[in-house]
Order: sequence, then C-alpha cells, then structure tokens
Amino acid sequence: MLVCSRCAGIYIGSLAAGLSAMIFTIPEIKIKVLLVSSIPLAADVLFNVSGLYDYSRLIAFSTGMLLGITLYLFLMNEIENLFPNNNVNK
Amino acid sequence: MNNKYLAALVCGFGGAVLTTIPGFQSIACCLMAPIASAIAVFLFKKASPDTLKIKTGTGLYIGLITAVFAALFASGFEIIITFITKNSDLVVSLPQVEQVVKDMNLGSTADESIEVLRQMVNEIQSTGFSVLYTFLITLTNLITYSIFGLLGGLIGTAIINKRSGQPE
Repeated sequence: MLVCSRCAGIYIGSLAAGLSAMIFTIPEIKIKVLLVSSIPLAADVLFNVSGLYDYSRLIAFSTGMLLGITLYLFLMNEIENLFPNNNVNK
Repeated sequence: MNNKYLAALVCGFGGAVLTTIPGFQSIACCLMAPIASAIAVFLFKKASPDTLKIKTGTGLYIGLITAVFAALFASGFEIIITFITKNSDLVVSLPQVEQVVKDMNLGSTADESIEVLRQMVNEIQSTGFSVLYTFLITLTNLITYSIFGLLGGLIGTAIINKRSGQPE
C-alpha cells in the first residue's frame, strides 16, 4: 500500500490513539475539537496548492497525525456513547 | 492457552483465510478486521461465562491481537501465493502506480520510488520473492488491520455489554 506522508500521519496517529486507549480512559472529544484539529491539515493543503510554501513531508505528516489522533478518539468516543450500558471501567 | 488469545487466533486466522479470495483483499482491512475482532470478543465472552461485562481495555486488547494475528497470517498467505504464482497485485497495478507517483510531482523522490517499485516487481517476476515487498506487506497489514481491529474490539465489547445489560 502506497500512501503519502499526510495519510501515513493519519494512520500512525490513529494507531497511536487506539493503542493508548487500551491503557488510558478514552477522553471525550467534541465535534468542535475535531474541526479545530483539522484546520492545520486543511491550511497545509491550501498553502501547498496556492504555492505559499513547498510541500514538506514533516508538516504533512504531523498535521495528518494530529487529525488521525483526534478523529480516532472522536470515533471511539461516539461508539462508546452509542451504547449507554457500556460504561465499564478500564 | 488463555481464552483471549485462543479467540483472537481463531478469528484472526479465519479472517486471514478470507483475504485470499480474489477481490476480497480490498475490503479486508476495513470490513474483515473489525468483524473478526468483534467475533473474537464474542467468543471470549462465550468462553468466559463468569464474566458479566467485558472491560473496554480488554475488548480493545482482544481486537488488537486478533488484528495482529490476521495481519501476520494474511501476509504469510500473500507471500506464499506470490511465490507460487510469481505474480501479485503490485505487478498488475505497477503502470497505474507509476502514473500516480508521477502525478504527485515529487521530483527526484518520485524517480527513486518508481525505481524501487520496478526492482520489487522484477524480483517477484523472476524469483517470486522480494524482501522489501514482504516487509512492506507485513508492515502495512499490521498498521491498517490494527487500527480497524481496535475499533472492531470496541464495537464488539459495546454490543455484548449492552446485550448482557446487567451492572458489573
């Protein structure tokens, strides 16, 4: 599977969030937090396309990772909230 | 063997076998891994009748190890099939992959990437085995299956706990 730095960041961020959720309690992530965390990635894409600066693998990876972490935690939180009887401590 | 590992091994192996079906591999990570993980949690609950509710951490752990088993077995099957047929998805899709990499406008990095891909394809076509291909297949399977396996474990735990309904 070939993915770009940004997608690799999203994958690694998601995996890191999933693994950390095994140890720590999944924090409540609101939709606003998810939207805010997607701003750096969107800005990076916008600035690259507009030619403001050249594509940087490090920036793409880190912005992707930030979104990957929050997106995955948000998803896990939503799944937990979907089933109200599931409030079991770690 | 611990019930957790046995359930994960059975479901991981079953899921990996399904990935050998042509066309199924493309939905393996997003569909097979979470379903196999959720079934593993269900099997764990069946094998542990004393457990009233499964802890979220336990469900996530079962999901993860199911995904890891599935990824390792699926990679093994893929490598064996590639070795026997001297063909793989990469060989078939190389022209399209080259086009995509060129379209990304990565400069010299794109040329190096394409060179590495061609080398992998040549090795597969000549000997049926490529160390880099084996490494990449295993690594990507481990990462993607684990992400979706964790989600499957969580979903399975949530559904089973909701069905059991009683407080711990």
